[in-house]
Amino acid sequence: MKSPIESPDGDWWNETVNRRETIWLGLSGVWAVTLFGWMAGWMQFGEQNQVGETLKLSTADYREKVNAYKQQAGDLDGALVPPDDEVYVGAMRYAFDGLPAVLETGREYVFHLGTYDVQHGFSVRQEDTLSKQLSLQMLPGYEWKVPMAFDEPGTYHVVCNEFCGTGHRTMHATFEVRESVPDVSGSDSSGESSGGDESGSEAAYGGWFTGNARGGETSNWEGSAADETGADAVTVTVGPGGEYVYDPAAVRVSPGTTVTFEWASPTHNVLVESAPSDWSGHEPIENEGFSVQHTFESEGVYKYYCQPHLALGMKGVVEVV
Amino acid sequence: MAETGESTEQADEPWPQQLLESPWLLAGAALLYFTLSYIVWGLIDLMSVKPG
Amino acid sequence: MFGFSTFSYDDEGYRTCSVTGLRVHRSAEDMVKLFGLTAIVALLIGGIFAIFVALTRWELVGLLGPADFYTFLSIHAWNLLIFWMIFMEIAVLYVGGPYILGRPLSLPRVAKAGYALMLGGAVLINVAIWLTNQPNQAPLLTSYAPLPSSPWFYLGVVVFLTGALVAALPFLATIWHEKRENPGKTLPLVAFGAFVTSIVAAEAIVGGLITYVPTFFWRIGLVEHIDAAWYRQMYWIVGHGSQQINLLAMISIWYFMTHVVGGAEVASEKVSRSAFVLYLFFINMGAAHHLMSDPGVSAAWRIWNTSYAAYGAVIASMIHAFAIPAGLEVGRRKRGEGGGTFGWLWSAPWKDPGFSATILSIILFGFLGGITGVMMGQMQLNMTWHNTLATVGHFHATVATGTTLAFMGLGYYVLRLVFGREWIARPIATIQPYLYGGAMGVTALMMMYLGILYGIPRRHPSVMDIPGTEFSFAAARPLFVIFGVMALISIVGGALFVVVAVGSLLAGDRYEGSLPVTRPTAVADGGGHKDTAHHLLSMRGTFILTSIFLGVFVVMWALNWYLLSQLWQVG
Repeated sequence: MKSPIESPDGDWWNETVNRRETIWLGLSGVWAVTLFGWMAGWMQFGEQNQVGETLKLSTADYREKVNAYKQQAGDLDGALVPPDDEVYVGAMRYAFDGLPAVLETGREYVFHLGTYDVQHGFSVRQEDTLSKQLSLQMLPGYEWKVPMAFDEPGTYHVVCNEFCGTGHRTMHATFEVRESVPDVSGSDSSGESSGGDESGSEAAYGGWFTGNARGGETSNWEGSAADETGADAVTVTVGPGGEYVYDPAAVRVSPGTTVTFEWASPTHNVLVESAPSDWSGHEPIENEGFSVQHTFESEGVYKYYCQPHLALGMKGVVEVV
Repeated sequence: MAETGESTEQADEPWPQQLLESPWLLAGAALLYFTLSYIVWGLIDLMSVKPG
Repeated sequence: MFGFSTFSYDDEGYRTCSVTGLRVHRSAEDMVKLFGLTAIVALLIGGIFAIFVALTRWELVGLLGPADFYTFLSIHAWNLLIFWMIFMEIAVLYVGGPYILGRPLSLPRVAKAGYALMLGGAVLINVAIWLTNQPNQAPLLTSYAPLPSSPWFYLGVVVFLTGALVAALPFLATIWHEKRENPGKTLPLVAFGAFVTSIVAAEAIVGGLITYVPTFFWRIGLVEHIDAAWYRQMYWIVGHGSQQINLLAMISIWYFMTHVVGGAEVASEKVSRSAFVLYLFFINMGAAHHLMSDPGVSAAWRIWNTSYAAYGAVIASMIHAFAIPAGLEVGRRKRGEGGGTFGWLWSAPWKDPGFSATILSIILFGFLGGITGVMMGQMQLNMTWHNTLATVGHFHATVATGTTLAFMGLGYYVLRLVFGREWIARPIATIQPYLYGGAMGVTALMMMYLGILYGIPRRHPSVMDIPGTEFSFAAARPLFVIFGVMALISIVGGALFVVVAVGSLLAGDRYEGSLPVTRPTAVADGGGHKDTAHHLLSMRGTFILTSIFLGVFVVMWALNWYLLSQLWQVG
C-alpha cells in the first residue's frame, strides 16, 4: 500500500483488494441499482409523478388561454369553478391568475401551469398539514399540463417560490377542495366583488388609498383628486413607467364623461371594488398598448384596483360629481 | 517509503491500468459523453415540445 | 511573494518540505498563496453578509426589507458558493499538480492573467449586485432569465469564468509536461484526483460561458429572446458543476490531509482511481437535479441524468467514503496506533485542527450533504424539496460543512507548510472546527426540517407575514429560533478561522516543521501483503462505520418516499 502523494510503481491494478472493501463495493452496487430501479418503478406503481405534456407558446397566447378558461368557468363566491377537468393557472408579477378556484375531491383534473412574464414557482400545501406540499416550476413560453387529484377536502395555499422581483413575497392564492361542487355555468364569470360601500370623499374615499382598506398603501395618492370636471375626454394611465399605480390615482369628472384607461406596462387589470352603478371594469390581464373606455353616467364614487398589484397599493378612484 | 518507479514497461501493464494512466483519453471521452447525455439529449427534448 | 513566509528557496527556486518530503517550486507556491489568500477574503465578505441574511430569515429579528434582502443574499451566495470555492480550487490544483509532482508551475504568466481576470470579474459582479436598481433585479445565484439583472453583472460573470478557465491551464500544462517527460510513471493519487477536478471544472465553466455569453447579449439587446427552459438546462451545468468541483477538490484534500496529518495510506489504487473515473464521466450529470420539477425535458432524460447514469457517481462517492477511513485505519494500525476495532480512530490527532476539520468534513458531508443530495435528486421526491428551504439546507451541509471545513483544514496546513507559520491562539484553533462544524451542521438540519416538514419556501424574506392574507408559516417559528441562533454561532466559528489564519500569517511563530505523524515502520514501507501481519491490514472499523452510514441512508430515503406517498395524486 502506498502514499497518495507518491507514484505507485509496477502493476497496481492486480493488487488484491481487501475483502471488506470488496463487500462494500457489492453493497454500493446493489444500493445504486435499488435507487435507480425505485425511481423508474415509481413511474409505474407510484401515485406521485410530475410528468405531463408540455406545450410551447408565447406568454400572450397563454394569457388568452387562461382568459378564455375564465370566461367559461363558473363562479362560486368569487372563486372559479372549472367548466370541465382542466384548471388553468397563469402566474405573473405578482398574482396567480385563475385562482381562487373550487375543485371536487377525488376528481382528476389537469392543471395547466404557465406564466405571463418571468419564472415563477407553483408551491402548494394543505392548510392543516403543511408537510403535505409540493413545488413545480412555471416557465414563460411554456404550458405544462400536470394531472392532479385531491382526496382530502380543505383549503390549499399556493405561494410562489421562485424569486420573481420585489413583490415576490406577496404572491399568494388558494383553491378549495370540496366533497361536492354545485354545477355552476360559466355565463357570468368575472368574479368581481360588488359591494355597496359608497363613502363620500370627505374621508378621502373612506380610506381607500390607505393600508387600512384592502391591499397596500397607494404610493401616488397625494390627498386630493385631479379635477377633470367639464373635460370631454379623460385618460387614466395604467402602470406608467412600470410603476404599480393608476395615474391619476383619483380623478373627478362630470357625468357622461368617457374615461380611457391606457395600459403603459404589462400585467394589469381593472377590477371594481365598489360602484354606484353597473361598471365591470376590465377583468382580463392586459399589457402595454391596450386601452379600454367607459362612459361614467351615474354620480358617485367608483373604486377600483389592479388584482395582481393590490398588495402593492395599485388602486384608483373615479368620482362623478 | 518505496522508491517511486518507472520500473514497469507500459506494455506489461494490464490494459485497465493503461487506460487509467491515459488522462487525456479519459478526459476527452468524458466530455463527449456529457455532451451527448446531458446537453444534446436535453436539447432534443426541448426542441420536440409541441406548439400550444 | 508577500513575504509572510518563513521559507527560502535554492538557486533553482526549490525548497523541500520537511513534513511531506515534497519538492516545492516557488512558481507554484507564489500562486497558491495568491489564490488562497484571495479565497479567504471572499470567505470573509460572504460570511459578513451571512449575518444579514440569517437575521432576516429569522423573522423575529427581520433585519432587512425585501429589496435589500435579495441584494444581500446575492452577495452572500456569489462570494461563498463561487469566489471562496473557485479561488481556493485553483490553489488546490496548483498543489495537486506542481507540488505533488515536484515540478515548477508551467505557464506562470498565464496563471497571473487568469488571476487578474478572476479578480476583475469578481469585483465587477459584487459591485453590479450591490448597485442593483430598477428595472434590474438582484441575480441571486441563478439569475434566471428572463428576470433581468444589471448588464455589468452578466459581463462580470463572463470575465470571471474565462479567468477561471485561463487559471486552470497552467495546471493542465504541468500535467502535460509530466506525462511527456515520464511516460511510464503513474500520477500519484492526489494528482490524479486534481486532474479529474480540473476536467470537471472545465466542463462546468464552459457550460457557464454557453449560458452567460448569450444572456449578456440578450441583456444588452443584441439577442431578442432567451428561452427559459434552455437557460435552466445550460445554467445548471455551471450552477451545479461548480459545486461538483468542490466535491472533487474536497475528496482530493481528504486523501491528502488524512495522509499528512493522520498517517493514512492508499487502501487500493485500483478502486480509488476507478471511483475518480466514475466521477469524471458522470458527476456533472447532476445538473439535472435542478430540472426534476420542470416542464420541457422528458421523464427519461430526467431519470437517466439525475441518477448519474444509474448512480455511477454515487458508487464513486461510496467508494471514497470507505477508502478514506480505510486508508487511515490501515495506515495507523501499521504505525502501532490502532488496537482493537476503533483504537486507530480514538488515538488520532483530534486536537489538530487540520485533522479534525478534515474528519468533520467527511462525516458531515456524508451524512447531511450527500444523503440529502441523492434524495432530493430522486425525480419524484424532488417535488417535496424543490425551492424549499430544505434545498438550502442541503447545500449548506455540502458546501458549508463539507467543502468549507475541508478547505479550512487544508488552510491550517497551508499556514504551516506553505507560509511556515505556526498557529496563533492554539486553543481557539483546536476548537474552531468543532464549533463551526457543529453549529453549521445544526443550522443545515433546521433548514431541511423547515423545508420538508413545513414547506417553507427558499428566497423569501417574510414567510411569517404574507401581505393580503391571514395565512402564514407561523407554526414553524420554534425551528426558526434554533436556526437563527445556530446560524450566528456558525458565523462566529467561521470568523474564528479567519482570525486565526490572518493572525498566524502576520504574527505566527516560525513553524519548526516537525512531522505530525511518526515515520511508518519498516513493515509499512512498501511491504507487500505477504510481509505484513494480517491484523495490521484489517478494515473492520471502517466497515462498521460505513455500514452505519448505509443504514442511515436507507432509513432516510425510505422515510422520504413514505412522506411522498402521503401526498395527493400527481401525474
